[in-house]
Amino acid sequence: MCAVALFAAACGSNKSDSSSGTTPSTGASSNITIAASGDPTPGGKLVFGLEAESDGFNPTVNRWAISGTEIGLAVFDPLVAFDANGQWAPYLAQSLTPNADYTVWTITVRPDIKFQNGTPLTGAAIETMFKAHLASALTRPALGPMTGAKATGELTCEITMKTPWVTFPTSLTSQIGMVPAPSMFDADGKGTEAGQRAPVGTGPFVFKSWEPDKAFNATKNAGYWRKDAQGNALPYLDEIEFRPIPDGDTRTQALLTGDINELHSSDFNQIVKYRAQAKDGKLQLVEDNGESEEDILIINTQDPAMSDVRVRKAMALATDKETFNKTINAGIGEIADGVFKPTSKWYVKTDYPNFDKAAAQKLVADYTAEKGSPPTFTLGTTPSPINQLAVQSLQSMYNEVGMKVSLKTTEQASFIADAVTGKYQVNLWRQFGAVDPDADALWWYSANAEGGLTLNIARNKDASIDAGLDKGRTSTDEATRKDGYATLQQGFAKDVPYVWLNHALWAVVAGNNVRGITNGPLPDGQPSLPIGGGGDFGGVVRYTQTWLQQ
Amino acid sequence: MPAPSPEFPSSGQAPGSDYFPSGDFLESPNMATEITGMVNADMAVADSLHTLDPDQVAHAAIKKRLGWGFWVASTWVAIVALSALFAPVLPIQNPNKLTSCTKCFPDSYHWFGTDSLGRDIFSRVIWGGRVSLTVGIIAILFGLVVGGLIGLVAGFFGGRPESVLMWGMDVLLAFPALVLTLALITFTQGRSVGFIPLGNSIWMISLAIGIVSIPPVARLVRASTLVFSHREFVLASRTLGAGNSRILRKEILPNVMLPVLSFAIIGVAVAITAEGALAFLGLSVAPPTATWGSMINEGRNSLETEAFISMIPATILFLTVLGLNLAGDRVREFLDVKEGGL
Amino acid sequence: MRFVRKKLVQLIFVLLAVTFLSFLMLNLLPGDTAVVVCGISCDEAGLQQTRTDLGLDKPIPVRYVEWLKNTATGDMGISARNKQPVSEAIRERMPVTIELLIYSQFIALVVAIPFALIAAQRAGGIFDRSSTTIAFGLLSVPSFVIALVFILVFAVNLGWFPAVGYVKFTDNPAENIHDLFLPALTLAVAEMAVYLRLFRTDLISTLQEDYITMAKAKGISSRRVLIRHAVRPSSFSLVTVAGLNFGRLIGGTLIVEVIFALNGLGRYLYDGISGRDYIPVQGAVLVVAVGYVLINFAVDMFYAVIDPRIRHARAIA
Repeated sequence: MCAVALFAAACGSNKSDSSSGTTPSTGASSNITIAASGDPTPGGKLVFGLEAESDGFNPTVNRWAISGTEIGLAVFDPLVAFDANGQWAPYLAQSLTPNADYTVWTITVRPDIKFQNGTPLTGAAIETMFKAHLASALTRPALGPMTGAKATGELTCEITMKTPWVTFPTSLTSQIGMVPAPSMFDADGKGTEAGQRAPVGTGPFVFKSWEPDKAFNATKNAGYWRKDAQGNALPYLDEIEFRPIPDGDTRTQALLTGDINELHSSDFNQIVKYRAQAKDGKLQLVEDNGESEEDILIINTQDPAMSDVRVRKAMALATDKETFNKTINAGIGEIADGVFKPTSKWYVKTDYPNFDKAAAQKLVADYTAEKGSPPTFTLGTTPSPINQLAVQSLQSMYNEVGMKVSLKTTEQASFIADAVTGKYQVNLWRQFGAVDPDADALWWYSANAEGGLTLNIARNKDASIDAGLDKGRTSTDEATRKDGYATLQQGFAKDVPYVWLNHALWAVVAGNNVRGITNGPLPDGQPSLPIGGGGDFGGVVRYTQTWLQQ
Repeated sequence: MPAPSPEFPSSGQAPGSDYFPSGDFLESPNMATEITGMVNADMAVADSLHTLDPDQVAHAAIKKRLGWGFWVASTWVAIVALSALFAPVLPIQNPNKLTSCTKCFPDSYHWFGTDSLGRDIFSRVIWGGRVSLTVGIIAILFGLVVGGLIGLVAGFFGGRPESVLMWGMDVLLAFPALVLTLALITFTQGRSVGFIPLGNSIWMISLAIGIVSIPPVARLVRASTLVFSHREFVLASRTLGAGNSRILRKEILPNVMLPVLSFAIIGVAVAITAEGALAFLGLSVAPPTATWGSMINEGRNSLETEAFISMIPATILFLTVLGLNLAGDRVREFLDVKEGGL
Repeated sequence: MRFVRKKLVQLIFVLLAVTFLSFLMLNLLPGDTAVVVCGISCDEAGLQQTRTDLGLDKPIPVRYVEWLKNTATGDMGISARNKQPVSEAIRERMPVTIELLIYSQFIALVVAIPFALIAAQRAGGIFDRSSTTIAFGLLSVPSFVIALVFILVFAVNLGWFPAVGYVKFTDNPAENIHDLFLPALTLAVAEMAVYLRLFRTDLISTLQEDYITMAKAKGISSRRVLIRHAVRPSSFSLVTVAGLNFGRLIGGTLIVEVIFALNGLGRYLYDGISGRDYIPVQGAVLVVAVGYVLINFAVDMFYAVIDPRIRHARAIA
């Protein structure tokens, strides 16, 4: 599926920790199969197979999909991370304190930390970073209400908002919160090209070399600020290499032949194979069952062919999600009827039009009789084999109820560019992985549906959705927030800007000699969310406490 | 007299080359390429098949017949072509109809099994042949018309036109064929000329492959034209007062057509392979239209467990390409023999 | 010398035309280039600025000369995608592509030569007929199918070779040779068929020459005749074709590099085309095309120097 990310927005707290918060140990859960950790042995080199290559590594400039976030976590530290309960906890920051009405947040960073080039981590560095975000077309929208940043002391920086922002710290678990060295910016605070290609952070690994499409290499940061519980220096690994291997089959084969030690994947057809191989003891598997993105059809609601809500509703009614899941997702996807999983605390049941072929046929027939021609549109996707199959499957469902659907394949780069500029009718899409819905709000606000470049890609305008999103953003009361997001879900069910297919599933897979695959404890000692949580995606892990069994 | 090419010295011909001026190859823009016939990318294969046949030298064993190999090969190609042509009326299943029987192994109902969406592979292979053969034939026809014209003009008139035209062919050859086709298709995506869509439409794909087939055709036609324009019957015709255009049409063209025919057959095979490669990269005609290349690509996910989904179209593609190559090769041999008897 | 001078003049003209066409590729799409370079968050002013930065507002001949000057000094522009200078990217990616070429030609020749020798010794025999038939078959298998089968069999099922990636030659030559075997073999399959047919034909043709008959009449064993007297004169066209293939295959490694996830020039071109990252495509196409032209030129020179008679003989055939 097309993993889209203009940038990695943040996740929030996830109370439903029954699956994602389990202690990693063999057999503890059907979808975590890893060996028990012994005493860490330092040294060695880990090779990680990524599903995509990134454009560059300045978190304020470049667009990071999950693969960019993985590299980011090696070179940078996020200001904030999630604990095992899914609550935010300071990471590189020592504390984040709001004022009474949550319009000013004061970030205090930990003392005596140096960037990899030797300059100290200061409040001024945080100011530089946030100012760069404010000037960045790419990351600015993720910091919606933010208006300014100012260093107020050696280690402190004040962030000001135009409206209260309660969940601000959760945004800082991802790309947005990863702190680049001031040396990555020029005198005007603009990210330099050199900085994009040779990042400098405070993270566990120091950038060594980057050959696009081949390898990103980093070596142990000898002066890293973190120690493990026994006081040993972190990280354990001497070296880490990230190799982009976009083809899922090839990536799997590379792991099985030992070319790489670890990989990530969100391809159901591969995950099925991993499950079998993990059972046979050929590899270790961790699946992320936390909040995830959704595989959807995103509809350009302002396109003349799609502006009639009956067309969108008919699409939803004609979508046989069970069959789609069986043929395209190897039957292991979790079917979606909204942006949240039923296990999510935000979930409410709506009257979203689920599969009903007869109703779809009737709706299409009525529409056709009235307009003189059936609903006609182009369904777009990217060239990967599984995406090609997916759109053909959907096309057949829609044509069966009387619509006229043609298909279009576009390469990823142009695909996303066309989508945000509204040059599409319907796209196979994947988005909305934030656990705290507020981090996804920018994709849904009506204000973002205007102009040439729209982050509200469906270009759906709905005042009730806006009101719900505002409630979720400005209130500290969970009941009020839930109410706000209930409005959101009902809005989606009514407007049908998205046809829901299934929730995504991310997995991290490792060879048998890798230990510490899931996230280790946080700097303050409390356990961390084992996997995921950092960014708009599941399946993200840190390598700070990863080691290789010799 | 035809405007004699300044490159053809009227005297000083190498002894023994009674109809082929020896100076020609010295002046040829790219002698080595000319001689070995190695051209760009897959076209090289076609060309080498054309020029480098083992039996060409062993003339002792002249065969007057096409041989059973030819008949087997052309029967196979004919079967593929006819079933592709009549696909709409054949009693086969709908190639785009999804069924609940996904990745089913071949049985009496689904002769070649079904793909991961439950579509009948047998029927898709037949329909896929339509795309492959259409692209193959249109591309080569385009190459023949344009390249043939260039070759005829260059070979017949010689001189400046020849230098310029063959120089152009050299320049075109310098660009890698697959890269050129990819760029032509990708960069014209979403555009159209009049009512003909560009990008990954069947027309643009054929055109892109056709363009890269121009230089080898031009070279071949030019070489043959050179040969024939100095043969006795052409000179005789000229003595009888025939003009250039008449000589070209009546004397040269029919003779040049023969070697071109065998080249064209092999060229179709090469174009089919090229279309397969484009489809494999996801850049051929839009789904759900079946093409052999996209069927192979779509089956990759199941290669370890249900290899037939990829391997059946791959085998059909291979057999068809092999059949065309064999047929073309035999035709060339057969025609060589005929030519020798002139 | 007249010949060499003439070829040199031709070379310069071909090179000029090749560079101009590479240049045009980008410049026939002026709007697109600026849009891509400017990125998706581009407004009208930014677009205008980008046009000025790239010099797209100047007339084409001026831009061509400027571009040529920059290229000559090693400045081929910067990728819109990841801001990497194109010349640096090409330097990074050139080695693996060239290695693949040498490696595949080596495999092809190592297989083709002995087979051709045995086949030519008894032309028309069983070995001859079966090897030429198999060669014919090999010519008809598309490389993407071969690659898939090789990965499935040799990498996944047998685990003999890696499916992707490689160690750099400078880091560990033995490992590198091992890692690149499958992609090199994939490329070599069609080549070996061509070489087998070519070399066999030439051998048979040489064996019919008078001096060979003489040698045989003198009672020298036919194997000895073949090795001592026939191989050398028969190998000119083989060497030539191998040389030419080197030039033409620079662009032919694309599919193999894509399937085996190798970051060579072919993959660079493919990614550039897919991402509409025009400037890298332009640079890489230029390098490939110029490489092709130069190698052809070198082969032509070689051929002219070595043996004009062979040239002539082949021309007649």
